[in-house]
Order: sequence, then structure tokens, then C-alpha cells
Amino acid sequence: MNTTPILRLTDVSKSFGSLSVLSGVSFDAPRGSLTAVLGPSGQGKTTLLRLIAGFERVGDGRIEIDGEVVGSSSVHVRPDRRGIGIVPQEGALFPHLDVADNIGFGLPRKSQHRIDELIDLVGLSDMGSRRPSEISGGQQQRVALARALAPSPHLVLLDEPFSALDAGLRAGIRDEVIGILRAASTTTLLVTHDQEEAMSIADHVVVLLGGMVAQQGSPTDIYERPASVEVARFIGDANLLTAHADGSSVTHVLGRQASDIVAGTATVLIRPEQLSVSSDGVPGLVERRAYYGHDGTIGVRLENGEVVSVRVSVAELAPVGARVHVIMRGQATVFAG
Amino acid sequence: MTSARGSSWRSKLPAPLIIPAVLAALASLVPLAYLVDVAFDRGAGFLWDELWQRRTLDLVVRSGFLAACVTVASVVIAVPLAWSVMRSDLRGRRVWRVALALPLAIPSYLAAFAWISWESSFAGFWGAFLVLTAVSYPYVYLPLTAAFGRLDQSLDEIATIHGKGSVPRLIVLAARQCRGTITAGSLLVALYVLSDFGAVATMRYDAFTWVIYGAYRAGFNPSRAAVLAVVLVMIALVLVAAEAVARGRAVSTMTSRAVARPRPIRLRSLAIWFHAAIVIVVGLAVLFPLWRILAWVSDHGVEDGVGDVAAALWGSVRYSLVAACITVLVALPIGLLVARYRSRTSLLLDRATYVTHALPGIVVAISMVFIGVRFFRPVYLESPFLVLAYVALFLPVAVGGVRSSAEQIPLGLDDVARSLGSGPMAVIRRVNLPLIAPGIASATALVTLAAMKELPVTMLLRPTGTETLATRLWTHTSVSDYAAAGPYALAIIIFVAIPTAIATSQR
Repeated sequence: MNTTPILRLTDVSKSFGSLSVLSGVSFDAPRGSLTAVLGPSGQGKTTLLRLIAGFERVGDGRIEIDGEVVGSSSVHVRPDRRGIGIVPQEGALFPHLDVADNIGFGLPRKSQHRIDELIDLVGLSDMGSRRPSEISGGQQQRVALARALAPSPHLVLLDEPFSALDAGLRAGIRDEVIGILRAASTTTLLVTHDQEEAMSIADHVVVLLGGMVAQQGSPTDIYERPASVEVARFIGDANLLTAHADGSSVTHVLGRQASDIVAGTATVLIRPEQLSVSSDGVPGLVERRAYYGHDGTIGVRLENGEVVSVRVSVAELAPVGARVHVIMRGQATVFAG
Repeated sequence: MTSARGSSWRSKLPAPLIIPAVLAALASLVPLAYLVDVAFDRGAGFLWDELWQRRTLDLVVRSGFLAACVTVASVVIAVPLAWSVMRSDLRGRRVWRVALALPLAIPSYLAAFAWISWESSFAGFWGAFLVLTAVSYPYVYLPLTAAFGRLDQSLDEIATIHGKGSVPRLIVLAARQCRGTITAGSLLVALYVLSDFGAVATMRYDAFTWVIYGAYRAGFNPSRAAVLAVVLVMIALVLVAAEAVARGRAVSTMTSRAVARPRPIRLRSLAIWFHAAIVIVVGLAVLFPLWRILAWVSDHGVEDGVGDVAAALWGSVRYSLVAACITVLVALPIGLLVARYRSRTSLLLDRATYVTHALPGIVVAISMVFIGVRFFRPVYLESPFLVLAYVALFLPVAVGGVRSSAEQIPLGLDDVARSLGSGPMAVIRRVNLPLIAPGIASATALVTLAAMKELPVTMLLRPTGTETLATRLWTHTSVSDYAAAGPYALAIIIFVAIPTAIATSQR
């Protein structure tokens, strides 16, 4: 089996004028995988995608597709010769073409057979002659996907493809689109700011903060073993408590655990689901409560003044002002400083 | 976002576009360059003497005074009326909104004909002032209705809560928020007045265009005509540049967020005054000319015969249609480059066509005459030369049409097409051209109509023996043969003004 990654970025940097947008970005997207580039808005995600697609020139570093350098400070393969499919945020269907012609746009010869195949693949049979304005947002997104897949690209780039959809439809269409990509074993790069989306569907997550790769790994790795406080804060709900380290262990308000972190002040990360209310433990006062239907969270001010978020069952959802005791399960993640 | 800035591939202009675009832009600057050359024909000393002559300075003052008066009057008319049809509960405001824009479709010489044929003592400043105000206030009114429509109503509400909600105060409040739009519109009015030939010529007011025409007609002094034309162009360029700056500011102060549809302000007893003002303005600017023209035609019949009118109509249509098609074809590469590509060259192209925008018809006309006499003897006063002059004159209109429709295509569509394997020219052929086809059609229609009502270029460069509606109307009016002019005026209303009104109202 060919193990060359479909996409490999090595130390890719880009700046616009004096504004540095990306610096030293490196990661691989293995053949057939779904990689998510995750980061808040304005941290270089879109620029990264545009560099890979060839819409922008690489400032420094190297982009390889299937082992061939397509972008570096000296090489720039035109976007129309990269064999990359792209599904933009709003679909960006050609408004003057019907669904079938949109899908067939990138085919060298207009092959009706291939178009029909893709229309069926995305479940839009008998909609081939509709105009983009005559179909729903979700259907437009599926046409955009079929259009990107038609020329059998090496790689498909998804640029926040679900964020323009209604919250109610998003999950359904997302699962459908990902299902189609998985079934076709297409290598996919998804750019998103939605950490839940990235964590739930990607094989590999690249966290982009401030134009740099803050961490990359499997969703579990990133959630359970965040590389920095910033990553921890960005991915999921995080309780960050101050702690004291003595070189062999750390002590914080909820307990003590072994750690070889340098002596001095430290920070520990405890996820809300690692905490629970109990008859004994660290006492505190409920300051806020949020009810989610299936469960809820309470914010508890502990005896040392720090406030932690605790995930609780509906039955345990204590009222504001109630006195509770909080205990911790498992290990906290420890950061120096 | 990043995509708004456009991709880096947009800074590399495709040769099949850049070559015709640059050639067209350069060619459109030739009349201006040649005009300067003629102005220097007798040396810089002559130019200097001509410039500082008493009569030249008088001319600047007279034209400037007319432009200033018309501009002030236009603002005075446009601001309250635009406010009343956009922000108040005036009954029938939707109909008034359209009616107040109609004068834009009436050629100035046609309105001038209506007034002077009714009362010859209108000739001179007052006639020119009245006619030019009537036909040019829409340049302030139209952009202002758009700007008022986008204003946030919460300011009105705050003003009302603080007891400052009287109608005049609310008008001033709205106008102050739209200062940039009013300034840009005012400069367009001033530019229109300085460039206009038909009204000042019919009213015999010694403004720039009329004096330039006189100097050219007199024949013995082409250099003086050229010197005056250069001065006029200089003034026009200043106005055009100022307008671009003002418009830029007006756009940048506009809120981009969606604003709730404003609740109309109640006019109560004031409504009658607004109705009266609108009736007077529409009456003077639209109904009166229509009534006069119909009166001439019904009183005197069609003196020249239907055949002559039909021949003149054919003359107008033929050259205008050919010229419009060529103009739009020439404008396409420029419009596409300016709208879809970002580079120094496309910026320069944009500026170049903007400069030609400042050239008044009479200036284009006499510079084309100079060029024709010197270099194009064989085709001078033949139809190709007239068509060429129209192309030079209306290129900015066509570029504007192509550009504005090309700018509406999201840049993301081009990117997607590129990633699907299309090269830059294929993107233009497969994505851009199909999407701007309606824009191309409407630009062609607008240029055709503009050429049909054009007067100075047509008059000076029409092939010997050819008559158009505009030249016929002008010839008869200039010898006070109003009965004979009537049918041509009516034909212009039917075949030019009404289609123009329809075409512009659909925008």
C-alpha cells in the first residue's frame, strides 16, 4: 500500500505585507483520512486552505500533494493543475448552470454517465435540471460536494461547509457529507472553528492558534492531553486551577497527584466531567446553574475562592446558593507556570 | 475576510485581456492628448495670452456661476424631496419616487426647446438655469434616495425623544448623515452643467461649451477653441477627482449591517406642502416640456412629413446601435480586468477611463475634428468616424456598466472554477461572461440611447447629408422654426426619453 501522505505541509509560512498569518505550519494528511484544521476565526485557517488550493502563493516552506511539490517559495503550481476539489462555505454554485452542469463543470469531457453517478451518490436524483436558486441550502452543499468529487481529485478541501446551515439541519447534512466522503475513501481536509464538529468527525485534528500549529493528534489525544493551557481552554470546557509543585508532586484545592513538573506555581486542567458532587469532599457554594435537558452544570465557588464547573445529572442540579461538596476522579493535566 | 482581498492569481492579468484593454484605454486618451497638442500649436506664449484674456476669465466666471447656481438649486430640491419619498408617510410616495427621477431621461436641449419656444425671453442665464436645474437635480436626488433608504431610524427616534423631532430638523439630521452622498451628487451636477451643450446653446448663454463651439465655428481660430477646451477639461478633471473622493467617503461611512425598515415619519399638515413641491418640480421638469411638444405637434401637424422624421430616426438608430455594440465590446476587457483583477495595471485602466469620463461632448467633438482633418481625411465625415467618436465619448458609460455587473459576481466562484481545472480565460468564458450577459445587454441599451440623444459630437461629425433626431431638432430650434422642430422633439420623447426612463428605473 502506498504510504506517501496525500498532503504534506513542511514549515509553511505566509504573510501579507508585514502581517504574518501563518508561521512554520507542518502536518500530514494520510491517504483516505479526514483531517480537521481547527481554530478560532482569524487565526489563519482560511489562508492555509487557500495556500493548499493554490489561490495564494506560499511565502516559505513546502506543500506537497501526493509526493509532488506544488507550492514553495520557488514553485507554484496553478490552482487548475493541482487536482484539488474545494467545497466553499456557501457552496458557491454557478448560478447560471443547473445542478447537472454544475457537477459536470470540472469534467474534461462532459460525461453524462459520471454526472448521473454523482447525482445519485449525493442523493439528488431527478434534480439534475434544477437551478441552484431552486434547491435548499443543504442540497446546494451536496451539489457543491458532488461538483468537487466529479474530477476524482487527490484531495477535497471543505471550508467551514456547514456553518452557513441552520443549526437544526447541520448535524444531519454533515453526517451525510462525511458519509459520502468516507464511502469514496477521499482524503479530506476540513477547516472549521467548531471544535465539537472537528472532534466528532475527524481522524486527525490540527489545532491552529495564532497562525501556528498548537497541537495535532487524534481527537482523544487533544481532549485528554492538551499540549498547552490555550489548547485546553479552546477544546471543550476546562477548569484551570492554580497549583503548587514541589518537583515530585502538585497540590491544588481538589487534591494532590504525582508530577515531575518543575517546582513552583503550576496550572492544572480538570474537565467538568471529572468532577462530581458528593457527601464529602471540598465544600463550596453553588453560584450558577445551567440545565441542558440530558444533564447540566453547576458553577461552584470553592473554599479558596476558585470557581469550578461541575457536570452533574439532572437530579444533582442543586439550586444557586446551595452548599455542596466537590470531589475529583482521575488525574488532572498539569502545566508549568 | 481573506477571499475579499482576492487571490494572488488575480494579480497576474491574462494577456488576451490586458492587450485590448490597454490599447482601448490608450486610444481613449488620444483625443485629450491631441487637444493639448493643438492648444500648444502656436506656442506656450499664445496659450498663456489666451488664458489670461479678459474674455477667458469672464467665461470661467459665467460658467462657474451657472454651475454653482444650478448645483445649489439641485440640492435644495433634492434633499427635502428625497427625504419625503423615503422617510415620511407621504401618500403616493412610491409613485412620486419614480416620477421625480424621470427628468434624467430628458435631453437638456429638448427641455430648452420647450421653454424657449413658449417664451423667447427665457433666453440667457435664467433659461439655462431653469432647464439645467430641471434636468440635473436627479444626480443628487437618486443617490440620496438610496442613501436615505439605508439610514438607521434609531437616530430619528432619539431626536424625537429629545424633542428635536420636527420635520425640518429631521431632514437636516438625515442630510447631515448623508453629507458625502450629497457632495458627490453636487459635483456630478456641476460637471453636468459645465459639460452640457444643448441647454446653453439653445438659451444662447455664453458658457464654455457654447463659446468653444463658437470659436470652432468661426473657423479662423482652432487654437483658441482648443485652449478653452483644455481649460474646461482641467476644471472637469478637478470635479471628477473630487467626486471620486466624496463618493469613497460616502461609501465608507455607510453602515453595512442590515437596518430594520424605518417607520415613516408622520408629516400631518405638512404633507400638502411636499405634495405641492413635488407637483411643481415634476410639472416644470417633465409635464411642461411634454405639454409644449404635444401642443406644437397638434397645432402645426407634422410639417416636415413623416418620411423626414423616419429618416432622422433611422439616422439616430443606425449609428447609435453600431457604436453601442463596438463600445461595449471595447469596454469588456477593461471592465472585467477592473472588476475581477487587482493589480497596478487594472487600477491605472480604471483611472484612465475615469479621466475620459470628464471629457464634455463638445471637447470630444472638436478634438475628433482636429484628428479627422489631420490624419483621417478619407474617412473624416464618413460614418466610421462618427462611430469612433461615439466610442470615445461613451466608453466610460460602457465600462461602468460592465464593471458594476462583473463586480456582483462573488470572487469565490472564480476560485472554485480554477480548482475545477479552468484557466483564467476559461473562467471568464465559462463563468464571468454568462453571468454578466444581462449587464452587457443593459450597457448596450444605455449607450445606444445616450448616443441617440447626443448632440455636439453628432452635429460636428455626422456624415454629410445624414440627419438624426437630435440634429434636426437643433437645426430647427436654432432658427426659431419651432413648428418644424416639434415632431423631432416628440420622436425623441417616444424613442429615446421613454426607453431611457424604463431602462434606468429597472436598475
